[in-house]
Amino acid sequence: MGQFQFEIGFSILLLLLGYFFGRHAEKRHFNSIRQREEEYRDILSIASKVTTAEDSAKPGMLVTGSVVISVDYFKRFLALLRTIFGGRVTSYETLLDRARREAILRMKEEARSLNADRIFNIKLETASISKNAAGNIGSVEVLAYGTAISRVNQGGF
Amino acid sequence: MIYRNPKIPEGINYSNANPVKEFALLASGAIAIIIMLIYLLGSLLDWSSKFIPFAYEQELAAPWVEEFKGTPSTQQNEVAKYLQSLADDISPLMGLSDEVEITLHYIDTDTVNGVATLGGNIFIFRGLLEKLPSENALTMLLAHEMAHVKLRHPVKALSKGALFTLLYAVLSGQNNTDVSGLFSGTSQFAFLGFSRSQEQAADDEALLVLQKYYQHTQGAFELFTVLLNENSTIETINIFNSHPAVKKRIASTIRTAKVKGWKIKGEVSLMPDSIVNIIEKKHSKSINDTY
Amino acid sequence: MLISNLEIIPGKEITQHLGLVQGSTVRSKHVGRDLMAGLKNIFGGELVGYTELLQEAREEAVERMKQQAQAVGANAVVNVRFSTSSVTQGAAELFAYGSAVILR
Repeated sequence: MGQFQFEIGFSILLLLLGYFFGRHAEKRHFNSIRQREEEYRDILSIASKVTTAEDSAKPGMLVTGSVVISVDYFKRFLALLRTIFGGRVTSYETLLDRARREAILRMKEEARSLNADRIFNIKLETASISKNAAGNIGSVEVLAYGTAISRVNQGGF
Repeated sequence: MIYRNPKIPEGINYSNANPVKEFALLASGAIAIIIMLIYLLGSLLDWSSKFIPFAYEQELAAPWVEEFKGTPSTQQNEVAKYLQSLADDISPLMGLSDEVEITLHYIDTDTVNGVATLGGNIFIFRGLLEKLPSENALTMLLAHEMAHVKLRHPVKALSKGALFTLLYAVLSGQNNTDVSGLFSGTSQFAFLGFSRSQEQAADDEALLVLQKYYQHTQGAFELFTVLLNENSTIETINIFNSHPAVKKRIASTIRTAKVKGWKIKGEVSLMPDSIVNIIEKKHSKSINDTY
Repeated sequence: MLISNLEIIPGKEITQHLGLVQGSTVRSKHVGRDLMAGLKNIFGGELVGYTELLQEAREEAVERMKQQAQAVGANAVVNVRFSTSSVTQGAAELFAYGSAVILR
């Protein structure tokens, strides 16, 4: 039974590590997201396709932003428990929210480098990658893309 | 057309609640479900054990019994023969089913123990046999072990052991555990533990047989006295650890005897001299070896 | 609140664009439902449990998107799109997003 106790102990250690480091990383990421969202507030993101001639001084340019984020061991275990009972899997909701906002921010970063101030027809794609043997994913990929448009006729594309 | 980019409030698409609370709730729920499952499966196994043919039990136990017994000397065979004849005498009183076959084995070691295992094989160790003051106490011991066989306790214990091994394999996510090996692993046979209620049931059966055979129950008290001394002096891993505390067993025996109007005291018969000689000789020899 | 996947709402005029709003949720059914669905897979047919799961989750995702739209002062979300992804076994992620606008 010594091996059994060792495995239990190891799992608890991973859970604790996952909890503390995961929580710290999540907090830091959210703070950074909020700060950069303020920074890029002047770049408008719009899901519609319709633009008018006065909106754009130049033809648009495709911009993309993508990110792969992993959930920590603790939250993964929590999600596993949750799937036994059913209901809202809160630990993955946070992960997806972070991933989407990060992807949009990276797209805006690219738009900023092109001197654009609007992104039209934004689309978001989510994919779960790196499936492991047990069938539980550890991470999601979010891709955000849209057409960046500049109203001022200078620099960039 | 006006374009604006207002700030969207936090916490709509996710909740900021501390996950530890959710974790505690879910984990305790999961543990409760697992415990319930084990209990249900255990009861199911208990119930279904009566459908396992005795012949299968015998087949399962045969290789292990051979290995454990070794090659007994003629003297050991004599003791085993004596034990077997005593068991055969009381077996008509036990109400064993036709397919059940009791086989007695005598093991020449200091272990103070008696073991009932699969296939109706009962092992009596010299350590215990030499401490028994009378044939009555020996009859009680044999009846107790035979009651385990009659009630199919060994196969129940084995299937429970297999259940736990299987659960462990499932929980720890090991896919390479050989499930067919669960029943053939020899190490499990040696220490099949019985639950307290099983021991109590075996005691009750044995007491009834003792009364029928001798018309009194003194043998039970003699056996328990030996166990009482053992428990207080030696701390070895033996089957008595799982038995209900000896004092409780004595109290329960007195109660049963009183209720049924059975005599607690009576004439006791001693074991045959030839057998006692063999056991005693071994005993003194082993003392000489030690000192 | 008007939810539409049209670009332009007939008879209405978009006066203000208020940016992207999104709603998402991850939901799972309990193990019993998963087992039943596994059995159903043998015979084929509709997996009612999962249909319900996805429907509930989709409604919640739309609800959350509406909450975001309300918070920024919009009265409609146009060009709405849905996407579904399986984040983990037995759980589904539903995502809805669109442009928050003020209609007149």
